[in-house]
This record gives sequence, structure tokens and C-alpha cells, in this order.
Amino acid sequence: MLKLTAVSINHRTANVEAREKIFYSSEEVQRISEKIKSVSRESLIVSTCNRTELYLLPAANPQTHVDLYRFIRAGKKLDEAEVQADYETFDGFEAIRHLFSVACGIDSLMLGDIQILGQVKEAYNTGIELGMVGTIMHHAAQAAFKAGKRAKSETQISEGAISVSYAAVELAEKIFGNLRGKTVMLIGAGETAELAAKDLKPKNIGRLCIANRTTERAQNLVAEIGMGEAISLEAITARLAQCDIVISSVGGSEHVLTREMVTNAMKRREDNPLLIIDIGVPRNVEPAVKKITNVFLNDMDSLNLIVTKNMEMRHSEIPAVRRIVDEELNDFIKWYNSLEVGPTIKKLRDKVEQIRIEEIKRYKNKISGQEAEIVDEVTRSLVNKILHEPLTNLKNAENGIPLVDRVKLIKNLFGLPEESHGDEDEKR
Amino acid sequence: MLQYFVDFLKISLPILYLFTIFLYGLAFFLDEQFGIRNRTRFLVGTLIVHLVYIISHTFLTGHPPVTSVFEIMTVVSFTIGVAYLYIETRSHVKDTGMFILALAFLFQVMSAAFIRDYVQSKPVLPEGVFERSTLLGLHVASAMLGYSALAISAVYGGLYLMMYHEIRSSKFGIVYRKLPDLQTLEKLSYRSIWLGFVFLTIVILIGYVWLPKTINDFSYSDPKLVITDIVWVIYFVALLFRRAMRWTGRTVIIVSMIGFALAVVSLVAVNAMHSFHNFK
Repeated sequence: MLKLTAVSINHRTANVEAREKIFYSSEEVQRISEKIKSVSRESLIVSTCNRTELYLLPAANPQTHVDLYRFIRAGKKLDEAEVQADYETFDGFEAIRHLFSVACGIDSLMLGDIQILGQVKEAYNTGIELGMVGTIMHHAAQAAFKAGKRAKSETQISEGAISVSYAAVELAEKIFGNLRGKTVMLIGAGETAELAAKDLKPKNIGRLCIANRTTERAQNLVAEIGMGEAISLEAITARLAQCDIVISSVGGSEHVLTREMVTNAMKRREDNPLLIIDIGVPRNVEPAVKKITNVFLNDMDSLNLIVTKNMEMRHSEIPAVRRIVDEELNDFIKWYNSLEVGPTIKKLRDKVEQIRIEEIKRYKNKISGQEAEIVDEVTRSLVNKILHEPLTNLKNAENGIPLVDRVKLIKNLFGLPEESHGDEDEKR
Repeated sequence: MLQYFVDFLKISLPILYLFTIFLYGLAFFLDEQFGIRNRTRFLVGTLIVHLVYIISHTFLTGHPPVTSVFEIMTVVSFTIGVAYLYIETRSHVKDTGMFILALAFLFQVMSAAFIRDYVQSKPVLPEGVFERSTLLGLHVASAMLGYSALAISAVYGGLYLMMYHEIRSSKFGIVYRKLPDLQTLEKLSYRSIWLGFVFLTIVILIGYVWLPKTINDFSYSDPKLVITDIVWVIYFVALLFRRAMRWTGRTVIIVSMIGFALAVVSLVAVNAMHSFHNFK
């Protein structure tokens, strides 16, 4: 059995304040690494804004979950009263399963979070640099990366926007395809509009203008986003024809964009598609605008619907991701069990060789040197031939008997000594 | 022996197309890995079988399968498949395959169901004309490619309108999630219109220059000729107005879909009337 122990302080067990306190940077992992290495053969610390996890294969003395939790707290010099956090525990292959689930994004606060795989890779690289990761954790991490990549490519777990601001970007991409060079206008400098602008900027949009009642706030937002031009609300009519995407979130009871304004703008832009996202309450855009050909008017409900449908889709993908996790876990278990075959074969060969040498020794004085050489060669060949078939069957995975049972049978039949995994693993 | 082989392929092809569509459907609706991994491979396999069928048919009858409307349908089906494969390879847009290949399947089913016995299939053109004239080959090949391109353009146009409606009505269902963006659909439809228009122009030019010299009862008022001219004019107007009058992609798509509907009428309904183009 794999003697791996793991604890996880995550978004289910601790509030954001506790998670912040317990977060480990690479430098902090380095500070604690020597202490962890003194009680473990291998370990891995995964720390993000939503989780801090310690995976540990103990050295001589077993480490309890409480010990691991204490390590995490001690590394941050936090006593129990300072951190109001509970933790989840995992043992053996269940800990490996948990690591795979984390890498696949199904354990994330934002289901299907694509950043988590990169963060697990970062944690692994830090572990390698600090000498914390050995054979087992190396193999577990590689399998976790594979599971994460498979989940991303074979399922839709990371597909579709799951934030309102990114849903606006997704909607724009569904209309225009590539957003490179497109002109965007923000009417009002509300939070969602600001977030959408920040999400649109990396898409290489051409121009951004921000219209607001107070130009100062618009200028501040321009500075914050790092691009664009602040304009007054009165300038909207003149600029509208140049815009491809308009996001409106201004307060007030009057419509900022009327049907007449948009109709005139559409004439000037030769009826090229125009996306208007009205996230103002009450609505900023006259509902009749929706009837104008090639104008795509959507509101907060539309964006929420996109997010809801994407979340539903991601949730529906969880069973498929779990199947990938199970497949990779089975492969990992097979690999882990195969670690035992090598040492068992070696032990069996050593034992038989010892018997052979002892028997030859018994007759050494009764035969000549030349005859001794012949006997040595004959017995060596005999031993090899006798062992060939059982050892082949021991390694053969297709004979229907589980590997663990085959190894156990050989050990019982030949009276081979049981040893802990740890020593064997370390030799490898 | 060859006849049995051709018969076997004739029956197999609709099944192969149906299975290919099924794989594209699996990928489109269920994101099934088997469909995602194998859809293009299976399409290539189906098209190879289709090519073998066309070649075998040609050997069996002694002429290419272009002498009756139902023979033409199998070639149109094949060219739609090949054209779609080309578009998929170039654009990497795979989620429209189910819709385009459904058209290829329909043409192949109609061809397989109604194609006449091979021994009775006689070309109306004078004997040996296929061997003699490369112009006829070009005329027929252009017609096949032209109609296939227009068919593909119509499907992309239909998908464009579905997507347009989906976004305008804020439904955001599977059409929104799976189809390419409006810009891409418009581009694919527009390019296919251009291709179809160019081939249709070649068809008409060759027809007017070459047919009067070859066909004894040639008539400029032949219904198929008239309808083809009308279809050509519709596409010409759509493309011209797109540039000159700045028609939007949506308008061009609607007009071109009307053109395609007329083209289908030209191919099927007019076949029932008296025409030198009629291969009864």
C-alpha cells in the first residue's frame, strides 16, 4: 500500500482570509523544505489562492494528518487561534486521485479553472529544485499533468466564459470572430464594464473610448486599463458609427442610446454588425434598438444566461473528467505495483544464486578445476532456464492474476522477506 | 462481376455517408471522443469509396456518370464531400460537417434510388462526343463544381442565419456554443458563392459557344438554359450589390439562398419538361 498522506486546506474548508494567511510562495516553500525533508522521503506543496496542500511520504516514522497540518501552520508561524481553518485528509491512492482532480480543475472554486494546471506544474518544479520530489511524486505529478491536459482537450470542462465580463468578450467573438482592431465604447465606468474592457484589451482591440458623466472618472479608468480615450456623454452620438462593440452601464432613467441614434449610426457604418451590451439598471438602451438589422442588443440577463449555460455544461462534464482521473489513477497504481516486481525478481535470483554457490562449494574439493568450471556453467544455465518461465509469468500482465497477487504468491512460495516500500523506492 | 461490385458500392455509399454524418453528429451534440477523433478519417474513407464507385461506373457504362440527372447527383454528392473536406482542412472548422454532408448524403440517396439500369443509360449526345470534346468535359465538370459550391454556400448561409437568430434572440443554445462565429460563416458562404458563380459563368459561356454547334435541336428558350441564366443573374446581382451597394453579408446570403433554391429547381423540376438537356 502506498504510504502517502495528504492534507488540503481549500475553499471548502477555509474562508478567504484563512486561505490568504496560509498561502505559500516559492520562497516560503524553500524555508520550510528542510524541515519537511527531515521527516519525509518525498513531498509536494501545492499552494494557490484557493488551496494549500501538503503531500508527504514519511521517512521512518509515520506522520499523521495533524502533523502535516501543524507543518503547514508552523511554516507560516501561525498558531491554531490565528487560523480558523479546517482541512481535508487523503491517504494512499486517494491522495493521488485528489491531486489528479485538482490538476483537472474539478476541485477548483471556479469549476474547470485552466490556471490550476500551471500552478501544479509550478509547485512540482519548486519541489524538484528543493529536492523534495522523488520517484513517486515525480510520477504522480507527471500523471496529474497528463490527466489535466486530457481533461482540457477531451472534455469541455474549461470551455465557455464563466464570468459575466468574459461572457461579453465571448459574445463579441461569436459575432466578429477575431476582435483585433475593433473599436469599443464603454458608456459609464461601472465595475462590469471595466472588467469587460480589461478582458477585451488582450484581444488586441483597436480603439477604446470611455464616455462618462464625470470625465475625471473616465480618465482614471483609461489610466487603469492602459489604453483608450475619455469622452463626454454628449460625444456618444458622433462616435457611435465608428464603434463595433458598445458596453453601457450608466445610471439614470433616460435612454442613453435611442432607436433613432442607432439607426443613424448603422446607416453611417453601412449596416456592419454592431454589438450593444446594456448592463445598466434601469436599461440604458431603448428596447426597440433590437429590431434594427445587424444590431445585436444584449443585456445583463443575456450575459448571466451565457454564464449559467456554460456552468451547466461544465458541470455536465464532471463525470467525463472523473473517468479520465480514474484511468490515469489505474495506470499510476499499475506503475506503482510494478515497482515491487523488480525487487522481488532480484530477491528470488539472489536466493537461488546463493543456493547454487553453496552447493558448488560443497563439492569443490571433490572435482578438478576444469570440472568445477563446467559445473559452474551447467548450474548457472540450469538455474536460468528453471527461473525463466516463472519470472516471465510474474512480469506478464496478461495472465489474469493481479500483479499484487502474483508477487505475493512468489514471495510465499520461495519464502522471500517482506520489506517496506520506502527503501525500494529510494533505491530506484 | 463489375456490375455486382458497382451495385454493392451504390448501396454502401449512402450507409457510409450516414455513418460519417453520425460521427460528425456525435462530436457536435455530445462531444464524443470517438466522433471527434474519427470523423475526418471516415469522411476520407467514404470519399475514396465514392471515387472508386464513379470510376467503376464509368468502366461499366463506358461513359462518365453525367448522362442523367441521377448520375449527375452522385457526382455532385462527391464534389460536395471533396469541397467540404478542402474547406475543413483549410479553415479547421469541423463542426459544420454534419450539415454539409447531409446534403451530400441526400444527393447520393436520390442517385442510388433512382439511377437507371446501367445498360439502359444512354447519353443523348452523339456517340463519341465525350471522347472528342474536352469542352463538354469542362462544361459538365464546371456545372458539377459550380452547383456543389452553391449548395455548400447555401448550407453555410443557413447556418449563418441560424446563428444570427440565436444571438439576436439571446438563446445561446447548442447553435451558439458549437457553430463558428458569424464572421467565419459569412466568409465561408461568400467564398463558396464566388466559386459557384465563377463555375456557373464557365458553364454558361461554354454552353452558348459550343452547344449550338453540337446539338441539333438547340434552343435559347430551353427551360433549363433560361433558369440557369436567371440563377446566374441572381448571383451576379448579389455579388455586384455587395460591392457597389454595400449589401451586408446577411442580405447577400438570403439572395444567394433564393438563387440556390432556383438552381435545385433547374436540376430536378425542369428535367421533367422537354429539353435537349433532358436525359430521359
